[in-house]
Amino acid sequence: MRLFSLNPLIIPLLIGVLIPLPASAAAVSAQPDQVKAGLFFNGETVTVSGQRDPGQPLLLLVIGPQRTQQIAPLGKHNGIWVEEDAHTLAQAPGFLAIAGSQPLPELMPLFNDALTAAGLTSILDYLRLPPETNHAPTPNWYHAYTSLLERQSLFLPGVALQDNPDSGTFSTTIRLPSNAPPGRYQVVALTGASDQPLIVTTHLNLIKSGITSRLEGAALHQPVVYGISALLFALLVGWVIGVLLNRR
Amino acid sequence: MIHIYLPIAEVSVNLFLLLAIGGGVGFLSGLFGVGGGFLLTPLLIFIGIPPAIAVGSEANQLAAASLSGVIAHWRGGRVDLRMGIMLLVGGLIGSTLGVSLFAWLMASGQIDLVIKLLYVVLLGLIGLMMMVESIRANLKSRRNEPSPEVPADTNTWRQQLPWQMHFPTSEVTISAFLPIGLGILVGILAAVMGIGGGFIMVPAMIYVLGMPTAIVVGTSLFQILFVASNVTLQQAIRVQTVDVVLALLLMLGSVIGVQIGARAGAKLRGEELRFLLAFIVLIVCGWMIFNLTSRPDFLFTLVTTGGH
Repeated sequence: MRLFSLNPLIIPLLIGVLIPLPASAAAVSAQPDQVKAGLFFNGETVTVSGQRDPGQPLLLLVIGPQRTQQIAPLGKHNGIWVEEDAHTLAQAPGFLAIAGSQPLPELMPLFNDALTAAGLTSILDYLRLPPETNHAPTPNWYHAYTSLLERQSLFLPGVALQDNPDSGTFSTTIRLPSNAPPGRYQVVALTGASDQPLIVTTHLNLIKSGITSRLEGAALHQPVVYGISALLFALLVGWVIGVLLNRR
Repeated sequence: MIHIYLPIAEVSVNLFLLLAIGGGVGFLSGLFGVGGGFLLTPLLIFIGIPPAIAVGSEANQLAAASLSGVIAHWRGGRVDLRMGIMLLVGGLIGSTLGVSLFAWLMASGQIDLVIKLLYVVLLGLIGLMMMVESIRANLKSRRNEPSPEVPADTNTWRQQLPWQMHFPTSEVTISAFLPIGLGILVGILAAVMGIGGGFIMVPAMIYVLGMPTAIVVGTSLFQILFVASNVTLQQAIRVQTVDVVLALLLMLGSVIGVQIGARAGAKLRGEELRFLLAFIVLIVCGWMIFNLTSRPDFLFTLVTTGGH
């Protein structure tokens, strides 16, 4: 009976003895890993799940395609609100979702170096860390940028995490809105102790499919053909309507 | 709720909302005889379509709508082809200049502000002029006074300009520079603002060119057809901002709206129609002034620096 009462502690230990695991292991996956934006696309819910060593902290990031963006403050001049000098943000993520086993300020000291080592230094600026930890500029362009994303449901700073510290399993659902930028999304899970952080990554792709893909391809790669076709189509519609509605 | 994903705008829009917007603007077009672009662009921006895509796609929709209108007027003999070609020459020059201006403004990041300011100035001026004119006409009709006709050939400054040309359908003799200049102005506005320019062209043809009102609408539509076609091609080739799915849905909505509007318009007097149109124009203008002058919810914005 005493053995059974200690089950929660003993069973993982027994498993650890019977099935040797690496000193530190983690896995993450996204389902679906390919989101298709067809003609009737209106956003998609993606489930991110995985496993790490029981009891270890966890930081989960879903990072949308990164590109250079310009952000400008608005100022009032002669009674009109106008854009002032713009600031360029390199590698700004088009989408960013953050989930963690603990509050972000507690997790970042553990994983700061791991993110840098993984080539994700640029993303640190967008995590809304306290000013003393990331030496935020004034104005804080990164905070302003993520606030703009948040207004379009493209920045999700506190995604709920279904976390089971005993088994080490975790999962969360992330809503990709219909205005999420198409491209390759990185799903990054950071875990482990501060002296031995572990980073695992997977990807999910948001791609246009079917007619939307063909139309975009034509617009970008064959703009002359696309433009002429668009015009001829409009003229055909106008002609048919004009003739039909003006029959004598 | 069916949502349609727009491949170039990269946003999903409610199908019925888009059809309703097209239908609503089409209704006003049928009611008042204007293209309706001055209402359509702000409405599209309001529902989340990027301004550059709204302007480019609307030109495509205008090409369909104007051809449909030209066919109706052509069959009724209400198109001055000679005048239309002069306006067209100016319109093509103007729309080409306008697309270059549009691309330059996009690169400088000021496109949104310029479009909004142009709207405020034009809507304000034209709305006020129409409002005053319609009130005067209404007062005169109540007193049973005849409305003064626009004098066609007594305007001496028109006769003093070089390159005088006779236009038999409109029965006027004026300098060819006048319709060409008017075409350039409207072409630039069409390219930058995504409008056909009907609400500028129609009064200018009556009061500046001295054309009979019956010929004006068809001739204006003839010129708008070519300008909208040129803008569609230029926007598609140079900045990739034409979304054919968006344009098609707007076309479908506007076709139905135009028919309902035309029938409703037949039951109203001309002064009442002009007063209503002026009222709507001034409301849109007031809304845009409010947007420009009231403190935004958030004091940062993303800068539009390129096409698609």
